Amino acid sequence: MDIALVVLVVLVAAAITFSPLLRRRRVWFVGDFESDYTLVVRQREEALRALKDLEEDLLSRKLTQADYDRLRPMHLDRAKELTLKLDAINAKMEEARRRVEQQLAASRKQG
Amino acid sequence: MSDYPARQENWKRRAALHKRSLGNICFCAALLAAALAPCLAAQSGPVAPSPGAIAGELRDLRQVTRSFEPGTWVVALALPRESPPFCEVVSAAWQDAFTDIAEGRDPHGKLGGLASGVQAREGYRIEATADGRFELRNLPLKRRLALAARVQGLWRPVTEEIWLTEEKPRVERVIDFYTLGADVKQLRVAEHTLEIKSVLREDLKYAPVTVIETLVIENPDQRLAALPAESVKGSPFIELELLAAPTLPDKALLASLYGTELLFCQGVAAKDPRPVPPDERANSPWMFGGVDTMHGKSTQYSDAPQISLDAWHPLNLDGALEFIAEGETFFRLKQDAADQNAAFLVFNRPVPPGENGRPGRLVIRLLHKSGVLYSQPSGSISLARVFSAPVADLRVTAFGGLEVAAVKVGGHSGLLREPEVGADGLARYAPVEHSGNLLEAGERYVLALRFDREAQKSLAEVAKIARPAPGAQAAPAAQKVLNVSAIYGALAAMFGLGFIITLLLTFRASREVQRRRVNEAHVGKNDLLQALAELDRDFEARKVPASSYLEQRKRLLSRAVDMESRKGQRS
Repeated sequence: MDIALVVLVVLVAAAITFSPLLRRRRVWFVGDFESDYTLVVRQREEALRALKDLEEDLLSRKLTQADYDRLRPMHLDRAKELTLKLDAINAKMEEARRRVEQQLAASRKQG
Repeated sequence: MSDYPARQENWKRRAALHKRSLGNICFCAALLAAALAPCLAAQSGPVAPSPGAIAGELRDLRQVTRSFEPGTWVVALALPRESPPFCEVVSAAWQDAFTDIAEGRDPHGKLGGLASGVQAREGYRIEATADGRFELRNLPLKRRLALAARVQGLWRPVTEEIWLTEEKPRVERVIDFYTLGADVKQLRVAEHTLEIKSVLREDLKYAPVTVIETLVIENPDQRLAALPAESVKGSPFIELELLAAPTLPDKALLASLYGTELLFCQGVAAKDPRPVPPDERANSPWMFGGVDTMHGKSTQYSDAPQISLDAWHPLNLDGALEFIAEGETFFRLKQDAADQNAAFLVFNRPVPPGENGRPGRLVIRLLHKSGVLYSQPSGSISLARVFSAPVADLRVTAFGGLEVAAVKVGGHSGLLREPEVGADGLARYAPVEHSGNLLEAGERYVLALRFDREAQKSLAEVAKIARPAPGAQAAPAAQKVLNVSAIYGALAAMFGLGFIITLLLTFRASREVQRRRVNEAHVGKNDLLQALAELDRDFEARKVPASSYLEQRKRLLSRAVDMESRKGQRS
């Protein structure tokens, strides 16, 4: 009788204590994630930083005018290309966001 | 001369400062005087001498002592309001307070009683003149005054309390006494009788046995009282070991059981028996002021001299004794061989001188109780006695199925004959035939009491009622007590294990690794939509704080959008 009672009390205590561990896991993310968008944003920022560095090097006479004229179009084209790419991704993501919001609203209505 | 006004101003300021300080000092002194006034007034004593006085003389009843040595003190002690009558006080231990006052000390000891007593601090003393006269003056009025004189080192009291009033501020008293000095070797215990009875009570664990002992000690001297010189200073004269109930944890408690488990008195044979007078105060007799303390009641005394008649004492209801006040009776503990307390009553009372050729008799009566456990019906009670005087006679009367035997320690034969059972059912034991004394001084003898076979059967039956047979123990087993300690132990083990597991889990991977693991969750777009909907519901239900909700919703939405955009890219 005593043993049964002890076991019962222990089981109840264990159930109360460890019940949070048995809950369904929520989908949860931490920090930022790597995606095409973040990749393009970072590359564009690097390209713009390179253009800025060229200007500063020219002003501080670390770079000659000739070299500047030679390097600048290359970095500028890269920045233009990435900006266009980012705009395209943004448009695509805006469209995707709109769809997701719609689906979310639909699922809410169903719920 | 130009700085004269400045100096004058400076002096004015200084004077003002001194005035203020002086004022403060005077104020403090006034406060101090006000606070100390009652104490000072109390210490200074009465302004006018009190008119109270007690005059009288010391009188030797046998005219042996006619002149008194210096240092014969007479003391009047003001008894506290709650004190039992002085005649009750002197039946136990009482002399120390008088000695303290006579020797100029503050009395700290308790007065009267075996365990408690009362404290009396206010005393007055005077030295008796060579012819034994005295006059105590300046005594308080309307106070219960106890009077005693110390003669030959022993206090001789007047048991009647003295009450002085404005109408009668002066009284005269004669303090009677017997001179000590009789040869103590001439003393003998003329009678030692025991009345033993028992009545079975099922509400106790033992069959109670009540023993009433009477000792008669005779002094053949016709002029002098007898008390060993060392007993005047406190050494035991007559020492009686006390019985106690077998369930009493410590015999030291006996002192506080006066009136229930223990009673005693001492006196001389009364010339005329005095029956109990029809007085309501006889209902609270001789209990040192606490006749019914077991039931929360205590005797209340009025502002008047108090008296308890000798015939009010439970052991003297027929008034056969006149109580003796000289000397003391006190409680004493000794350690026995088993390191347990053994309790004794010591009667340091003088044996008065004889008269008209007959010996003087000191009678001691003692009631004490013991018992035999129902679970051990064949058990016996032993009572050892030894006196510094020879014992001439020993008689026992037993009632209630009790058998008695008495033997001298070291002797080979009993001291009592076969009992004669009377029509009243009492078994009377007389001493064996002997010439001279039955026992000589210092010879120890033991009385053994036990129940006869018939009574033992009754005891065993009572024991069966009190303790069910072994077969009948199934029912009480159902009342088994829950083993709480086992539950606590199991819970402690479980939480201890949980603590160790938690401790091990604290050794985790780096934050980056954990973040990567969390973010590598393989979920589909539908899972993300479901998670977003669930997050919204939790937020609305106030299960998630706003900051966490906003941040997590942004992350989930970003993931979902990224997934949706890739889907669009693929399509």
